[in-house]
Amino acid sequence: MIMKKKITIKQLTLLAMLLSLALVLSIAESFIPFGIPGLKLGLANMVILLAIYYFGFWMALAIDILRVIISSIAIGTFLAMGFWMSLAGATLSFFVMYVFYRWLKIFTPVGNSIAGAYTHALAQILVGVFYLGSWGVFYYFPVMAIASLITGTFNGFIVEMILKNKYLSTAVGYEKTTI
Amino acid sequence: MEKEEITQQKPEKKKNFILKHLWDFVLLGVLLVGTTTAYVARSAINNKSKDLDITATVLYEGNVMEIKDEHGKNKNPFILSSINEYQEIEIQGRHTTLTIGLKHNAIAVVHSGCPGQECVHEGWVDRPNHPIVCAHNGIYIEIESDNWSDITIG
Amino acid sequence: MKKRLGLLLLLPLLVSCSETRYSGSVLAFHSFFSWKYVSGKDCGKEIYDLANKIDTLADPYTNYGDANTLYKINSTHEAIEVDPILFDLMKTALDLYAKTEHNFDPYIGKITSLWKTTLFGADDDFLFEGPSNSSIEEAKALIPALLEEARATSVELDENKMTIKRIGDGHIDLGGLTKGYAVEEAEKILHSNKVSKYLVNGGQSSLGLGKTLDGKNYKVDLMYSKVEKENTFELSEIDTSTSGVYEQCVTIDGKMYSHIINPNTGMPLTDYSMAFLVGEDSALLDAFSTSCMIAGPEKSEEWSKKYNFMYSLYEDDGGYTKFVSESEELTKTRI
Repeated sequence: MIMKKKITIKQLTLLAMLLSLALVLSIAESFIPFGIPGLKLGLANMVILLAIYYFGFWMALAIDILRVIISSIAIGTFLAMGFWMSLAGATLSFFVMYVFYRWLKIFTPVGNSIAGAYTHALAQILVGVFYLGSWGVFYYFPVMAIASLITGTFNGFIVEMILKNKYLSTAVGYEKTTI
Repeated sequence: MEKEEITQQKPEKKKNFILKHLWDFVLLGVLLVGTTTAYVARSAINNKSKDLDITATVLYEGNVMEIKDEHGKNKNPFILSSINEYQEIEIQGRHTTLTIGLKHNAIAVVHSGCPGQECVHEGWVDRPNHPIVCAHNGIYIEIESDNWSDITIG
Repeated sequence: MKKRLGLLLLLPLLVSCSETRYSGSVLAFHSFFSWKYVSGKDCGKEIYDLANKIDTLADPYTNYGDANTLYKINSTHEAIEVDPILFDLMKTALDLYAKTEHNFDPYIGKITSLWKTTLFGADDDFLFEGPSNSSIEEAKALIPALLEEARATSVELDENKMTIKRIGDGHIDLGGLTKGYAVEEAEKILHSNKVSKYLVNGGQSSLGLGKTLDGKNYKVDLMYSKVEKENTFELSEIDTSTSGVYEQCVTIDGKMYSHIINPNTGMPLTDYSMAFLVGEDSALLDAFSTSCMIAGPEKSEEWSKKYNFMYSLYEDDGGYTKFVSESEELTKTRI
């Protein structure tokens, strides 16, 4: 689906800011270890979810994939196991969050974020299983999942607060860009 | 008048918050419960040792100890899976006596006169290949299952 | 239901009835050395004798009179003719002393002995009440001199005459290697008798795993984890070595003093509390398991790649282990 709306300079700037924010969060969370190198909390999902609400499918997906690639180059895990874990986590959680946003309207951004965070953890573990060749990697899933659920809930509330804020929304032109 | 309106609004606001996010919390609950039950179930499946026949052999200075029952027969080695009531047995070690506790599929050194008390600190052992040793008294309790593949070290 | 399960359990017995199960044990290396195997032939006596032999020859604390044991080597500066087993053990020790970059040190016998007596009491002292701050300070004061002495100690080996000559006044203690070496030698005996299903247990800290009875893998569980049943590995036909402070330790002022001495400082304190190593050579693993605990995760990773073993390292979390890092290949074997 091609964007029907033109992007204003304001929105372009906002896109760039969101990407930077997502990058900072991605790099910051890489310092929190979870046993296997590459397992991450998914703090940047907060930004991606916001982008979904503000800009829709393609722009948000672009931010998501760009932040995975750029952050992994910056950290130095490009094309290593950690990179594929991030990529899988980011894309899978993106699709889940979009589905929730677009069709499962009984969930608020909090629910979207929770679903996204859980899928993010699950996708990472599955990549780990595939990469290391053993189901034993699931050993790390419970802790990962519960930590992700907590950060997901927290992220969701932040996104909801930002979306409700009239001043921020009009600055973005949110009312007009909602599908 | 204003104060009454405000206090009436507050519980409403809380209710609204919960109602609005009801499905979110349901999702969170389902995922949390789902993950923990899957985790518990997996751990339980791996804990096969409780279904096997576990035998405990009490060795004194490397030899199987004579622990006689009422008929004069040697009770040692003990088939722990066939014990249904809690029992205690006193044995004489090299320097002090020890009290061994036996229950279904588990054994422990309940009391010992040794200075280190490492044997007592082991507590109840219900897993095979996890021995209880009282070096001071020359006592070594070996716990085996029919399939000797479960080992505990640490 | 239980009866049917019981009958099912009998089936493997019926299948494996053609081969006899043997098991044996001996009090050696200050712990229980035991073995179990399935075979047509009884080679238990060989293993029993071997374990006893290594225990006697490598014992630096017991005076066996005229016998050419480590005790004798430590009491003289002459070249002593020794049994080939002791010679080989000494050679292995020197090789590992180099490989572990001196983190396994066979020359710190006096320091090990001093801390043993200070922290846990002498072997025959039944009234020992534990160390005090003053007894630890006294021991600490002796360390610098003993370290210097240990650094100046070495051995000269003569392959033709089978002699070992001690140079310097430090005492040689091979305790950190004997269990692993014994397990390795026991496995050699079993292999030469074509035994493939076995378990050699060197006091729990060194394991020689062959095949299991039912063809599945051994489940090796590391204790002292706060989370029960979360440190289990599926392994088969491989050796393991575990080093931990928890077997024998004393906590004073929040610090854990154990029987593991750091040869670099002469102190019984380590930053890491447990190391679990998996690999092919039991003797090598034994020396490296304490070395990994002393040197830390980066060195452990480096050594594991260089000498082809897997490691899992832990630090202390209130009397229990807290995971630090491990080899990727070892994570694959976790249950």
